[in-house]
Amino acid sequence: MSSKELKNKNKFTAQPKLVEKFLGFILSREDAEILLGDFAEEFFTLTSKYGLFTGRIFYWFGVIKSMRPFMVLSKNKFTRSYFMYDIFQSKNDKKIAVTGLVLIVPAILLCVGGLLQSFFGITSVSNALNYQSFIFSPFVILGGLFAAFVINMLSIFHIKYQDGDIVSTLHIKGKLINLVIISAITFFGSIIFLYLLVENI
Amino acid sequence: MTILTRTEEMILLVVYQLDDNAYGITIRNSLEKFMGKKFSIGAIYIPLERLTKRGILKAYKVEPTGERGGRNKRLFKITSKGILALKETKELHDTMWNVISEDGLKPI
Repeated sequence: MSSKELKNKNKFTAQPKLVEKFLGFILSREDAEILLGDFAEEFFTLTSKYGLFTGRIFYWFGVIKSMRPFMVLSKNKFTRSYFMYDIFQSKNDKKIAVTGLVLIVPAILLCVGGLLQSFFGITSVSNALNYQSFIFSPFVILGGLFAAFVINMLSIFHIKYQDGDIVSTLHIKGKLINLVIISAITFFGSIIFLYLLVENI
Repeated sequence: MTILTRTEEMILLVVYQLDDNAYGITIRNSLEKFMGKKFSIGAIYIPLERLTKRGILKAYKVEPTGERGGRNKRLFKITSKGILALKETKELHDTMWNVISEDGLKPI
């Protein structure tokens, strides 16, 4: 089979990755594996019957219809440990740390500019920054800090649902980069919080 | 006595008919064919899980196939408890319908 034919065949068999992520998030590894197999078969049948575009629409329709039952299944059984462990812990720690760093860049720039101006009288940084810009809106700064904090915390905490209880365990070995990002978020978040407190009292 | 819901009864009958090929998709497709009603894949698994928990169905994993993207398949088989439950449900069903049919179905 030529590579073009193979690529074309793969189009009809490779189901959207988003579905894999979603099922991995709400179901146990074993359940997700079985259901993803069923969905892959469904995807193959639909795309073979209706073509890639219409098949995909029908497929997504089926996925959306399955949301409520999946929620029931996940509530009945099980556990988010698969997602937390596989997506956040084992492979993507560095990616998460870099994403966190990107998310907190506006907060860092804001704080550095403000601190240099207040303590050392250096205005060049704050003058260079356009505080009217969208990236310095409260939504982006606080939202970025919050999102970066959450994803990095999830990479060091292993949370699972076990025997009716939510159990979390701390994994810090090899997570230095995530811990640094969390510390940076705490530091810059505190500065912004103190600034807001002082300004509003 | 184990009383089955109508959907559970249908699922068990389909699983029995499918024999060694009863898994999510085939069960869903057969139900759609017999009942003329659309089911989502997820909706099939709720009664299947419930029946498995009650010991009416037995689930086991088999090797992956190509069209499933190399993923495992969970097959279902009726247990002896399931067969008994089906028989009891049919008996109950027949008994209740026999009482009705003596008078005929008339609007009240």
